[in-house]
Amino acid sequence: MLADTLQNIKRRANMWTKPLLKDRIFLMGAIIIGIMIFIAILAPWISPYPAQGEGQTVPNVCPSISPAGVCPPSFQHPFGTEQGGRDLLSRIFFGIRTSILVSFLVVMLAMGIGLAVGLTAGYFGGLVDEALMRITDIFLAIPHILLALNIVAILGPGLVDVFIALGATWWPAFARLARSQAIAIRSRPFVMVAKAIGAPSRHIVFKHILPNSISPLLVQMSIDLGAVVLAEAGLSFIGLGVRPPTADLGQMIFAAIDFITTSWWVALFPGLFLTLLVLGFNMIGDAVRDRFDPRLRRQF
Amino acid sequence: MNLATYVARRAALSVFVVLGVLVITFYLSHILPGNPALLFAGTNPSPQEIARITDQLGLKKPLYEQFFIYINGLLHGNLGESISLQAPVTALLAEALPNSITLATLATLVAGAVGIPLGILASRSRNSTLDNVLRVFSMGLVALPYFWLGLLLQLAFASGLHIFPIASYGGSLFFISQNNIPTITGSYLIDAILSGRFSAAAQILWSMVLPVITLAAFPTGVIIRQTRGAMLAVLNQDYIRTARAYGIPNSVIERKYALKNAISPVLVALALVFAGSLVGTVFIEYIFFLQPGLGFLIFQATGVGSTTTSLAGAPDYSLIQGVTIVITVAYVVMNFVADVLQMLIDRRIKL
Amino acid sequence: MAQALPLLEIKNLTVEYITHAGTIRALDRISLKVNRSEFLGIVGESGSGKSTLAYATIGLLPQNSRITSGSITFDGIDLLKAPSKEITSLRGRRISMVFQDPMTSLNPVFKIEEQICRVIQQHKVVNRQAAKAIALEHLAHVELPEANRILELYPFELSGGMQQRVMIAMALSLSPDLVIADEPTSAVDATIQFQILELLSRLRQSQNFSMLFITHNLDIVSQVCDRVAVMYAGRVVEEGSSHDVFSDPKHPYTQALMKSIPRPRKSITESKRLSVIEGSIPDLLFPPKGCKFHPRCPYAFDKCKQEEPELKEVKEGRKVACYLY
Repeated sequence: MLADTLQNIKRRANMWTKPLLKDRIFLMGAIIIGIMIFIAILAPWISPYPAQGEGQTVPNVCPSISPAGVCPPSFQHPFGTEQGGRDLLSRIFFGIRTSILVSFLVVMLAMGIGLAVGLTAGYFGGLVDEALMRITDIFLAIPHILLALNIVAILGPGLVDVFIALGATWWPAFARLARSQAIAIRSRPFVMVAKAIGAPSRHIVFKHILPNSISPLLVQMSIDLGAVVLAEAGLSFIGLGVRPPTADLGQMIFAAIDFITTSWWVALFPGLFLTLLVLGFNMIGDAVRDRFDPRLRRQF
Repeated sequence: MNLATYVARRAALSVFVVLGVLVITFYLSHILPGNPALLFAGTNPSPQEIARITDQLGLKKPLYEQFFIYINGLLHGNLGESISLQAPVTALLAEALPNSITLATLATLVAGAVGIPLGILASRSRNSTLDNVLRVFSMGLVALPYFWLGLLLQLAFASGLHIFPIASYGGSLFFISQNNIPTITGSYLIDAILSGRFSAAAQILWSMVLPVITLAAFPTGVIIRQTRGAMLAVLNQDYIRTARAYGIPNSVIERKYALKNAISPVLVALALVFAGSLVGTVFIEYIFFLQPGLGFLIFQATGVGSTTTSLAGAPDYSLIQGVTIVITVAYVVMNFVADVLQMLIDRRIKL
Repeated sequence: MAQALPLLEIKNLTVEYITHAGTIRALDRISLKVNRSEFLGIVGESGSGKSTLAYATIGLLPQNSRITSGSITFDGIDLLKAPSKEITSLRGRRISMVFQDPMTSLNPVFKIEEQICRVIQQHKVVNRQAAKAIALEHLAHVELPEANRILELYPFELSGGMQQRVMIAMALSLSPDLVIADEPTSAVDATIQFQILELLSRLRQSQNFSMLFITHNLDIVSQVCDRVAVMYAGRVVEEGSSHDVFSDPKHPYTQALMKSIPRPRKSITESKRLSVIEGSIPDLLFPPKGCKFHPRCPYAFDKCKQEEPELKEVKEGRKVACYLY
């Protein structure tokens, strides 16, 4: 049953990939993200100082310039070092790893929750639908970062907590989409037929409704990835994100505030990579969304 | 359904949503693991402290009763006490809101003033080089993290080129008190203007330039994209074709006919952008040390930016909760305002 | 009969669309004339190129179109070569257009007054009051009651038939020489359709303008048009006065169209099957060689499949593009 669903999805996916590949913006975004994913996966092997990337501090890197270990870019350290003498380049690589890991997992979680809530609401309708949708509306009314802030404030910082907090913030949009899809599809003939021959609800939802609903959610996913990365970095900046010494781009930028006037590199490079990462995701998301907008007619 | 009925219905819906938010924030602190008392107790409380607070918070009572007490307190303007700052949350919020609102308003205005024309420009020639450049530019703006941009601007223009002050309203922590600006609305800038202290106002505004630009970057990107999208959708409509067929010049079509049809989603975006900017103050106010402000409060609440070492590391939940409620209400209100505006523009929307 | 110069003369016009799949030739060397005070009907199925003809004349072809040959002359002005300022000043003032779907062709967020007066004031130096007076006058001409009230309404507050009358009023408000009507009755139901056609006939007497009336419905054309041109796959296949073409259709396509018009039976015992034209319109990306109609033509012979027939005059005022003649 799962195999069927996957095959269905794959077939639809092929329908989109061809025109998408022609879009320049999509290609640029895809290249950027491709590189980032490469970095994220291979961080321990391609970083010049993997141990430092993971948090090991090194004493006396450049004692004459900075007792705190914040050294300017040099041959050994192309991006310089951050507090504690840690090589910035390696830290950035590991930071990218954190960002990508968290964002993918969060979006998956959010999509999962959203699908569950939305499909249930859309398929069963009535009171269930009303109740679930009111809850969704309320969650939608709270700005993402604030909600995540609230949750993390209670759970405490840490990777898992951030993951839960962000996942609990982003699901409403998916739920809405899933619901409208479920509503549109549940009255289609093949669903009626399935019901008429007595197929159980769970079967109908999984085999028929799910594969047909997935497309707008995938589009939404590509749009959300960038936002989640920013939210995660933002939380870390405030101090409610992953705990040091885990590398995190947002946290690195925060730490750079103290050194901003003397050591520009500690703030510049992490932010640059963060922006690039988000930009890459946004480009992909934008191109995907452009493709699936109701096709705009030729202009007169 | 006429306007009055619609307004009443939406107001009721909004109240419901706000209520829902209150329920959620309330339950968050009570349902998630951990003793809620700890959130209100500060760091390293003794067992007696915990017991005392637990009692004080009425945590032994049934949940719904606690909720009623909470709502009751809320309606009387009591949002609890902030541990980190040792002051009632309501007072802190009242002090912080006007300045943050000023910042958010300025940022929204900038976003609109810059974003809408650029969006229109992009929509004139779809898929041309200019359009693509503007698209990438707007995507870049949306990708920029607030906090990073703020730091960079500070570095470049403040400490680097010394054009703008590095931090604080007016450039120094004592500026406001030195200039004896009375508290009329609570917003330094507005109060300075209202009381006729124009040179002080100018200096305050000058110190706000970098923060406002930082805060406006993301919204500008959003507005550019919204405007472009809306204009493109409208320009393909039949009625635009009719206007062209009757010899109405492009400039008039753009400014009058297309814009009025396209403006709805842009207005919604502007409303949301305003509320979003309030959230953005979290990052800006700390970097630029713009005190008092909502964002600044949140920073203090999370303990990272806390000036009181006793609290470092433990979040001040009543404060966070208070800020959340305020900003959410702002969101709901702005959404409502945007919807009403939409209704006024497009008479077809009858509910 | 004195030969006055035609108001609109289209000579050898070819329009192509460039699409991802290839190039489509929507109009293939079309030549037509519209005289003053004459109503010319253009009949064809969708895809015949009739709308392209309309948009080419008013200059609103889409961006992916190319005019690869021919000319359009309006009262001595070459519309394809004239500077855009001149074209813009012609639109609405001397050539105006009535569109198919009035609901979407009128701007939903502006009142009727604003829309009509804007058009009037664009081309005439008058103040709003005077423009309003002109608008009211023309709204009266199209037999809309309570014209004053209508000006204050938004388009969606009017019925389809009333909207279309408003569009016609707008089209005539500056007393143009030529009105191009692109399927003006296709979006309204049959009774309204009839009323609009009656209206157009009456207006013709009182207002004195020419019309290019585009439709897919052969029946309608006979009601209002003096002459008719039948189009198929981008070419004119038959042309003549409506009376002649109707009573004596010469091109096989026209004959088939006439046969497929549903007619009431003459008696209970008579059984009449709805006759259809076999096949479908050609794919304009890969048009058939020779006469484009030959795959569906009951009389097709070898020459039809090789060379495309030209539009020839078979008697005065009557043209056909077919090897049968």
